[in-house]
Amino acid sequence: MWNTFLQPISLDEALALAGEYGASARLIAGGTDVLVELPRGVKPTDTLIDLSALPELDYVRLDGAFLTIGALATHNTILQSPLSWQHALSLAQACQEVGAPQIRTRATVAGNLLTASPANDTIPPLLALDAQLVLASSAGERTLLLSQFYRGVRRTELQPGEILREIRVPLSAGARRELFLKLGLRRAQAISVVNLALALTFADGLVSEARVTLGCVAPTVVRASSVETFLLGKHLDPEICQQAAQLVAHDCAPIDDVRASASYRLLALTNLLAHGLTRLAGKAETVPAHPVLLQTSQPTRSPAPPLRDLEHDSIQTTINGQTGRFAHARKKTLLNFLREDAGLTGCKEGCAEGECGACTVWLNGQAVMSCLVPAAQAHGANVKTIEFQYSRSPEQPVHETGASDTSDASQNLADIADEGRYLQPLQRAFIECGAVQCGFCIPGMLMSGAKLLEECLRPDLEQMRNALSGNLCRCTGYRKILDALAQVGGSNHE
Amino acid sequence: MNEKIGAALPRPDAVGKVNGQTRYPADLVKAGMYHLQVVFAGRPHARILALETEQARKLSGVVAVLTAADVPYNAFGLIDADQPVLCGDVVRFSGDKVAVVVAETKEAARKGAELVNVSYEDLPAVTDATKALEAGAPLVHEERASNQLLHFPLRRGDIEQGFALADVVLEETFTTSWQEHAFLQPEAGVAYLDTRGRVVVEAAGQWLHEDRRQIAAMLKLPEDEVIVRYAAIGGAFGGREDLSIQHLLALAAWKLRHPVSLVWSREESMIGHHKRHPVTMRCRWGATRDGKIVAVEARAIADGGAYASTSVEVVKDIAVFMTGPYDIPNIAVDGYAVYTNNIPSGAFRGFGSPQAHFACENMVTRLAEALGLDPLTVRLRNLYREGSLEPTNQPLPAGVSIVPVLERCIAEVGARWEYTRNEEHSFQGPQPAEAHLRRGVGVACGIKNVGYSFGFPEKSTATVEVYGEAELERAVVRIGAADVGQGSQLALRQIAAEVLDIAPDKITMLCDDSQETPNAGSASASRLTFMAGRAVHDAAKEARKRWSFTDDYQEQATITYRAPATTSIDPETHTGTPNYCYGYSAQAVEVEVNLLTGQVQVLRVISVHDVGKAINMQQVTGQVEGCLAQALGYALLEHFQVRDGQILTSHLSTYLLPTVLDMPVEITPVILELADPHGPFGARGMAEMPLVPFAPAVAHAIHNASGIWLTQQPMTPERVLSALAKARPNQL
Repeated sequence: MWNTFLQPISLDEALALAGEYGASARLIAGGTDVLVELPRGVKPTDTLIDLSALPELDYVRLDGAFLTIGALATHNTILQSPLSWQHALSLAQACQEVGAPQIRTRATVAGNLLTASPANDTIPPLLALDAQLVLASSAGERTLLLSQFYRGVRRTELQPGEILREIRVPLSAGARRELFLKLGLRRAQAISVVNLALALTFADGLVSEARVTLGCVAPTVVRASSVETFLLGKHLDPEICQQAAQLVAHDCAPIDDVRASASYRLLALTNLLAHGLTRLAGKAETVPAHPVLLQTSQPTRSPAPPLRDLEHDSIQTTINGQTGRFAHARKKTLLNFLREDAGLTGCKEGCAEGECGACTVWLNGQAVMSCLVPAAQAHGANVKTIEFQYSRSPEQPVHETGASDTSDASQNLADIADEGRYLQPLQRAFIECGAVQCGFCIPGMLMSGAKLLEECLRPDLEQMRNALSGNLCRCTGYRKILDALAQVGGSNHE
Repeated sequence: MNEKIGAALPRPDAVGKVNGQTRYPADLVKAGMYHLQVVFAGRPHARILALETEQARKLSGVVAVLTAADVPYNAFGLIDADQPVLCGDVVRFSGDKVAVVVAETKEAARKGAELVNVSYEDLPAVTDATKALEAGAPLVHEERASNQLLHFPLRRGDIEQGFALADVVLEETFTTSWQEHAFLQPEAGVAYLDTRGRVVVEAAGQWLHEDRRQIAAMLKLPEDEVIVRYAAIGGAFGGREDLSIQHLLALAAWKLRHPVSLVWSREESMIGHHKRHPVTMRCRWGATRDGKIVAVEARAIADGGAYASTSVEVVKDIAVFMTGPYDIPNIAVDGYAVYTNNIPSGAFRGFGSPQAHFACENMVTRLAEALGLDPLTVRLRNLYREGSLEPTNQPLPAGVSIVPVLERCIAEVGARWEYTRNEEHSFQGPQPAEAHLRRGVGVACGIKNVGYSFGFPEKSTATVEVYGEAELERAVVRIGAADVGQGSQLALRQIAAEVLDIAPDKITMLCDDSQETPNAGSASASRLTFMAGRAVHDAAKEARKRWSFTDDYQEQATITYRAPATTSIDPETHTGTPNYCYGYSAQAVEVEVNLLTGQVQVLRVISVHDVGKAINMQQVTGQVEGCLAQALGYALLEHFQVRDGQILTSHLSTYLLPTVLDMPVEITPVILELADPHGPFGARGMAEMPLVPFAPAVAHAIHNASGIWLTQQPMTPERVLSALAKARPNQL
């Protein structure tokens, strides 16, 4: 999919590389969009410039009159930050509805903006909040309003050599109320059919400023200017909400596609907008106390030497406690690297697009879809797979791999497996509860489930359901898998 | 007695599956194996003018490009060998295969496939089953005079007289769409020649011996020159009944005499294997004022796609189940299986019964409403009883239990849910405070055959070897029964353990190798527990008897169990015995309809099944829960879209499976054990049954909640909202 993988370790270096490669390279952070696009020939590239070694860009903070969001802030970063719930509620609500937990551990808000699909969920709230983008290049920085950023479907004003360094959300001076609503065709892992964000400011009970933004109903996310104009100076009573919503047809031009027809989009959008405005006039939105994150520590960089040597293709990584150097890994996904080079076939490919979760492993304490991670991002990182209990003792040398000498190891492992005595409580619970049928999803289910139990000793049913919402099972209906999780999650507490 | 039957013994295969050590077909790929890449047609109907492989062959790493000329006998199929392994003259659907590139690396194989140059002359394509039946429609198979693969008429009583008796007559047309199996493990496998030169294929499938038969026929080899082995099977659901890649692996290994591997991507899996039949069903039902259904006329047209697969058998089942589990004196049903230039349709859990029930159970509920009667009362008035005649004019097999099944379902709703019933509105319960969320309850019944139908030879063979001095010490059970994830090998182990009276872990199960096991028949039609179970039961009993009468340490028995005979349907008299056993089910579903968006969330399900005898209750409820997830996807989510023969939903991001959040929080499986006279310990098959009544139960619940009737499966938010907008033009 790519031949060169560059991993700068300072922003200056990143800017220099971005300038040097220009349009021939693509920037990558979480990779959850880039690694879906590349195999399908969308914005193809030979060179990836990876920003993931710049952890200083992962932040949400207050800076003067702005809430600022760094280029590497993930959806989880937003969800974890009380500041974002306080100052950009609609953005936080949107982040909660993007993909699945294993996507939100990795996917950045900046990346979501740059994918530039009208269905990207973080665009409507940031547009409603009138966000600004700080675009950096080796020549310096410029600031652009998000409202001026999009030129069309998947097209932006980002110039070759530029990096979206920071997103700035202006803090509200008055009484601003916000809401994000999304209509997807299922409850998780759904691309929006329509979405919308509302940011309304009130003075003396009347709307003094209105920003209403709509996704999936035009080539870019758009503002509903007719609706906004109508709302100004109005009291948000139910009748006004209905009347305002009826105007939305003037503000959008939806199309038919595989997810929905244009007429359905318009009808559902009208209904949702009326509902949203009514809801905005009502009681305050609730902020979730403990959103499921499937991460237990912030990703940390280990002291592995930087990946600079372009000639040499190897990476150094710690898998299940064993550190090794692996050749031929830099052009692969983490999933293919683990299966083909590390001989760990417990992680499975069910879709190769981050939909099924069968490839879930832990990367630096986060549950991730390994099919959407460049293996090179595991350089200097800790990886944990379903085979973790079989890690050899540290004093045994780890062989330098060339792909072929893994079969002996797996043979030994198979022998151990017969006895089943190394099983962890959750693995035992899966067996006891009858949670295993064909078993293909089970390694991924266990990696997500075990991460939840690390994150939260005694999860409630909703947390368990959310934690597994990125793992598809076609056999069990999930019931006995939840039973197994509850069996261990309950006993931990007793 | 029976301490091992019914017990929730843990699955021996689960250990390797929870620690990542179990090998699925894609895990068998080893360094040094060649990689295969299929070249698909990508167009629905075309003549191949030229197939140029030179460029591909010249690519570094490419070893060979196989085409039709390389296939000794270039036709395969479960029933009718009408599908080319590799197309030589005409392609008939976009997933038809024209070449296989063999290369040293996966990348070279993929690049080589892009270099295979095929020039086509596009032919007129027919992608609508009804139009395909019209005179003058383009022919999918030129050598056949028509696209009609089967017309299957059923007649009982006198249909005109029946409608003359009716006080209410309703007509409606229902459509169902394709469904993708979406087993989580896409097709994969390896093949090689063993030291004796036999072709060994290691993959996943549903019937070792049938895969072997078709592969041997293709290679023109004796069957014992081909060995099929199954690695761990990552789900099947009917989707691995037809050959997909097994024969390609065999062909390449045999041709090149070198180990080969093939791993399909999800997209290749989606476009490459058959689907559940889309069916258009025009129904006319008549009933008397007191709720007695007196006449049913129906025409069901099933899109069989480009090749026969199992369409003929599926359509016969659709016809038999167009009247559901009801004793209706006057019936005129016509089922049609039709060739089109769409992806082939074939087996999928339920095998025609879910489609038929979507129409028939909807019609019963609507008739009840038209009559002002409770739909449950109408059902109870018309349900099959012991001795009732089938639409084929013969009595049902003994053990008809749909009445107690429905009665139990009604009782469970009354005991568990806060809904009341009255004659006017079937169910009334509390509604959420939000005015845009409306709740409702629906109920439907279901019937589905266990095992093969219409005279197809139904048998299963097992060998049981027993060892012991004074008492039995251990046993080996050999039976080629595919464990596709459903746990059949555990059920068979428990049956053997019970009969032999030894601990289950003293039994070695050999099930996954065509050379080492006798033929159990397929893992399909909810038949393995019944058929393979009886074979193991009978062989174990015989082996134990023989052992007890000798002083030998080892004894064994091989027994072929044959099910009670079924027959084809006499075309003159419309009479016959289609099946030897049925599974009966009834479900209650509570939904919440979002009036703003048309989204439907299933809140609770009660799923009642007569399983005869649960061999392992935990595995039985696991089948119910898992099947309900597929049923929920079928009813609401899984919208397989095809336009002009091209598949639009070939990824899991566009073909949506239910996630855990889409499933109801409360699922209550209720298992009745009303013994079947022939099944082992009274067991009857059950794994397909939860799919049968679910979609119409959801349709009924949506109606109960919001007043609308839906006629199209899946009942997507768009279809729901569109019906709501029509029904309530003055409301949002």
